[in-house]
Amino acid sequence: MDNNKFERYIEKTLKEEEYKVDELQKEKMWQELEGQLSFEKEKKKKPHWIGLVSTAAAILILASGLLFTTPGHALVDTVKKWFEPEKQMKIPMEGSEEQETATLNDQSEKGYVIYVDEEHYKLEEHEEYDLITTKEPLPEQYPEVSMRIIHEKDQSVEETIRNLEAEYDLTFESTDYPIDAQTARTIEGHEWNSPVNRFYVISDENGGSYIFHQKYFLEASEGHGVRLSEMLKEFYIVEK
Amino acid sequence: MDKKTIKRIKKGDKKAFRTLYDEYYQSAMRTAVSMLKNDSDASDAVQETFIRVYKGIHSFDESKLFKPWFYRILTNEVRRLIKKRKPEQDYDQVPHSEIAQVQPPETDHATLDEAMMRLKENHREAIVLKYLEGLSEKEMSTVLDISISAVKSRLFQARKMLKEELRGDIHGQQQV
Repeated sequence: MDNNKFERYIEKTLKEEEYKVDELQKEKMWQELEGQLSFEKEKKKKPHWIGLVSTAAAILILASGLLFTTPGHALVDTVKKWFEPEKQMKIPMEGSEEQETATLNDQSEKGYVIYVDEEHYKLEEHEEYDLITTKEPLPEQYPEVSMRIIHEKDQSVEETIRNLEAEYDLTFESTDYPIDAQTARTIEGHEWNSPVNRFYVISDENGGSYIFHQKYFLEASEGHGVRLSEMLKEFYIVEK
Repeated sequence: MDKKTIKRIKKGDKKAFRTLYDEYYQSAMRTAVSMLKNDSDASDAVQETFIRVYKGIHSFDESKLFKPWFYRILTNEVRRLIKKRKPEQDYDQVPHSEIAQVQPPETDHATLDEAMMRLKENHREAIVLKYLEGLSEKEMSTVLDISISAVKSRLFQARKMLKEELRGDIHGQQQV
């Protein structure tokens, strides 16, 4: 039997017997999932007048807040007092050191601040995460270079690690560079452009965790890899 | 799986997660049963997969395809269960002669099934993902975390081994 015929034989024969879903087993599993996972509570439609009263109350609270205190501003002021707006970073590059200016990126509403080397990178805010990526897009022959910052508010370090280990088939270990964290990495090949995924997980000091997911490629390990890690050194958790 | 549903799941929407569950349950069970050859283990792997998918969906990159991401988690769960099994329970470890004596295959499907049982875990995985679930080589490279050329090579080896298994044990029932 030639290869094509053999492939058709495998496909046809494997698909010959359709997997029949046992509906009872399926529903039982769903119930187990419902018991183990925490979903958002379904929102009940409010009568129209409740919406109006809530809006009015919100306006009142906001107005009185503005008159007496401005907690958001107070926090920003404190952050500014604690963290200088710019910082000099020494980046170890191929045996020597490069001096770079890093700029404070105040994400205190999300519980952290980080200094970003804005000559080379920028911080983008997304719905579920923040992303530090190259200031200018890389030519398309280069794999992605970025560092994703994900805050898992309700997921402990252990749980986050378990999930990442399952998802990427990794084993985490402790490290003290660039920060004290649990870390693991994958390298997809041995070519100059083989993608590298490096993960760091730390506690958010409030029961949750932060994931730093760095993406670069083998040849950029000593360049972008080091620069991303040096920025990670300048990550600070602040109280919301 | 459309992006809108993924976004809703990220916000904790149970109905959206049920949509995903309905869409993926059958193929997940079919894949797990084909890889593990045991309904109860397959059910454990699939349940754990859905838990990990829900808990890990925040880290899913919406610019990428959902299907390979899902199968990657499932495949890792299957591997985890295989590792957990006692060596004597793993078909990879059972001498060919013993498996052949269990029950003579009666159909093409049973013949292939028997031969698949004797493949190495990574070869069985590759065959299931490619020919049963219809994943492309690119999708398989994401699922298995290897390059596309490594996928091609693994599939080539898997087909070669499967052919040999079928030649050796069919005893005339199927000429390949």
